[in-house]
Amino acid sequence: MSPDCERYEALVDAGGPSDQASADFVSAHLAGCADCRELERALAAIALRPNDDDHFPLDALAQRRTVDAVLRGAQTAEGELGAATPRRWGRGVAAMAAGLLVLAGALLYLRQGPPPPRPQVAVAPTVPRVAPVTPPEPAPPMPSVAPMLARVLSVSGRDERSPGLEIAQGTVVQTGAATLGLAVPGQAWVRARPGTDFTFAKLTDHDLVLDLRAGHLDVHVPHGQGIDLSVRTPHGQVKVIGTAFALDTAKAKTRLVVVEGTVQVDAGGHQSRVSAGFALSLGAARPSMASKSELSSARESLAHEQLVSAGAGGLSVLSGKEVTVDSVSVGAAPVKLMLALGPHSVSRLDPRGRATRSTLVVVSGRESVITDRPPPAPEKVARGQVQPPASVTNAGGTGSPEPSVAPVDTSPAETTEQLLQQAQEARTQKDWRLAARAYSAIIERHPMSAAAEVARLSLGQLQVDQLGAPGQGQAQCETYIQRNPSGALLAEAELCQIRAFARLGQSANELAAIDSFLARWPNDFNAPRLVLRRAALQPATPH
Amino acid sequence: MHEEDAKLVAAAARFDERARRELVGRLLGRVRSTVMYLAARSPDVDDMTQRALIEVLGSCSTYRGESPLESWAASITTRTVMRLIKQRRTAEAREQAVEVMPEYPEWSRESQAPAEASDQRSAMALVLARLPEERREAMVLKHVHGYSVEEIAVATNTKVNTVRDRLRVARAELRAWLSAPDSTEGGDR
Repeated sequence: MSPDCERYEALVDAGGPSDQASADFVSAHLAGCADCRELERALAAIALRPNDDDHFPLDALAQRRTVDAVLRGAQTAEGELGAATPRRWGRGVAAMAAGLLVLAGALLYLRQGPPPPRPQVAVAPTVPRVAPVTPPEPAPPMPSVAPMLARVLSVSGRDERSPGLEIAQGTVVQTGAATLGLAVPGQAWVRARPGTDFTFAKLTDHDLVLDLRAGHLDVHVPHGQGIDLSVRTPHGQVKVIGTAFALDTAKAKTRLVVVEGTVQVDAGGHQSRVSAGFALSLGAARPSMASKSELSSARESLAHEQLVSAGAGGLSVLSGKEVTVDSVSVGAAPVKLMLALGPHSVSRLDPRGRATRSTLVVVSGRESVITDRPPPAPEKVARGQVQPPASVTNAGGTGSPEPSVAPVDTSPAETTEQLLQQAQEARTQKDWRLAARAYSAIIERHPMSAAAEVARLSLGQLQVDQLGAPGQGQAQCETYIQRNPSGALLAEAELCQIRAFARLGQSANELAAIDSFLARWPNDFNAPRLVLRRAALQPATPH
Repeated sequence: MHEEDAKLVAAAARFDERARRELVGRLLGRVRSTVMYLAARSPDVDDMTQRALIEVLGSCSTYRGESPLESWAASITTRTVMRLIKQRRTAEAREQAVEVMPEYPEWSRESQAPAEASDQRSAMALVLARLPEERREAMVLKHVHGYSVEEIAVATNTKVNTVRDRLRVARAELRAWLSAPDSTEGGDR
C-alpha cells in the first residue's frame, strides 16, 4: 500500500476530509488509485443510511412474524406478567419459578435417571430459520405425474449391474459392496455408497421421493429445474429444491451434510433449515459445522457426477486398486462408467502398487475396457520408455472403424507424462517459460490426448498470470472452453479468461465473462469477489 | 437531543405494547442487516436477529436520547451478536469430538459460502465473514454504522489505537482479497 493510500485511509478513519486540501487529495487519489476506488465502492455499498436501512429485506409476513416472536421472546426473557406488574416482582417471580423447575427436574432425574437429550428451544420457534440469503426459488416447469426412470451411470465395485440399467419407481435398490451413481429425472443425481438400501418411492420429472432405510446417499439437485426432492429416513425427512447434500443413515441416527444451498429438515416434530457447510444429526435441534472429511467426501461425489455422462460411451476398468478418471477418484476396480465422448485420462494403481496412466478416447456406442492382460500384439516401444502394463481394448462396438484408444506415443519425443512432469518441475522452479514450452509441446505432439486440454489451460494461465501475454492466454482459455463445454476445469478456464480481459483492459468483455461465470457458479467461492468486481466495473449508482 | 426517539423508547420501557411493536418494527431491518454483516456464514441469522432485538427491548431503560436510536441499537446489536458467535463457537467445539473446522473457515472448494453472493451487499457480507471477529466487529461499526474510531473504542471497550490497528489490518485483508489475481501459483483457490 502506498503512502497516499495510507493517508487516504487515515482520512477515512478520521471521519473524512476536514478541509479543502484534504478533500482535493481524496478526490485525486481515488481518481488515480483503482484499489482504493474498489475498496471505497465496496464499503459504501454496506453503509446503512437513514432511508436505506434494510439491506437484506424480509417479506411482510416474515417481518410480522419476527416482530411477534421478538415481543413474545422479550416477555419471556424479562419475566413480564403484563404491563401492570412491577418489573422487580416480575423478575422475582421468574427467578422463583426457575428455582422450582430446577428442583422438580432434579427430583425427576433422581427417580427416573437422565432423560433423553432434549432439543434446544430456539428463541422463537414459530419463525423458521432461514439461510442468510435465500436464492429465489425456480419457477416450476409444467408438472408431469407420469413415472419416469432413473438410470445407472456408474458402478464401482463388484456388481452385476452395469451402466445404462434403468430403475423404475418402487424398485428396491440395495448396493451391496458396490457404489452406484444414478441419473434421476430433472438432471438430479444420486450416488449410493456400499451397504445402502433405498427405494425410489416416487419418481416423476418434478417430484422425487426416496426412502432411505440404511446406508449413505449423496444427492445433488440442480437449481432452476423445479425439482422437489425428499429423502425419508427412519429419523426424519430432508426436503430440497436445488442443492447438494449427503445423508448417512444407521440404526441410531441419520447424519445430514449440506454442500450447496439450503435444505429443510423435518425430524423429531420440528422443522429446521441447514445451510451449506453445516451438518445435522436428524432429531438434534441445531446444526453444527460439517467436518472437513464429511464435506470432502460429499464433494467427491459431486466431482463424480460431473465426470459421468448419460448417453455417451462406456469405460470399464477391470483391475487396479485406486482408479482415477480425469483426476476424479472413482474407487477400486472393477469400475464401469458412462463417460462423455472424447479423450479421458485414466490412472490407477496396479496390484503391485505401481501407478499407471492411460489416455483413451471414448467413442459413442463402444465400451473401452482396461485390464492387466497383456495387449494382443506387442507395441513398438521407444528406447527408455516403459511399456504400459495395461491393455485398452474396445468391446461391443458397432460400425465405427475408428479406434477408441489414443495412439501410444512412440516417437523420440517425450510422453505426455514426462512433459507434464517437466512442466511441473519448471513451475516449482518458477521457470515459467520452460513450463510454457513443455505445455506447448504436449499440445503440439499429443493434440488428441486429454493431457493436451489440461496443458492448454495451464499454458493460458501462465500466459495471463506470469508471462505478460494475456491476449494469447485468453485465446488458449477460449479454445479450452469451446472444446470442453463440460470439462472439469471449466470454472478455472472462465476465471482465467476474466483475468485476461482485466489485464487487457477489455471491461465489457470482462463484465460479460463475470456474468457468465456467476450465472453458472453462483456459489463458487470466487463469486463474492466477482460480484464486487462487477460492481466496480459498472457505472456508479446512487445508494 | 433525540426527543421523539427518547419518548418512543421510554414508552417501550414502560411495556407499552404499541411502542414496543413500533420500536421493533423500526429497527428490524437495520438489526438484521447488522447481523448479516457480522455473521453471514451462520445458519442462525434469524435467531441472532431476534436475540439482538430482545436485548434492545431489555435495554430501553438505558436510552437517554443523546444519540440517534439506530446508533444506540447498533451498539447493542453488535455486542449481542459477537457474544452469541463466541458462545456458539465454544458450544460447537465442545460438541464435536471429530475434526472441526473453525466457525468461519477460509473459503475453499470444500467449504463454500452458505449463501449466494447474489448482489454486492451479500458479497461483502461473505467477504467480511472471512475476517477475524474483532476486526469484523470494528469494520461493521465503522463502515456499516458510521461510528467514529473513538466511538468504536468505547463500544468495544478497547483503546483507540487498537481500533485503528484493527481497521487498518482488516482493510488490508479486504484489499488483498479483492485484488487477488487468483493465479494458479498460490492464489486463494
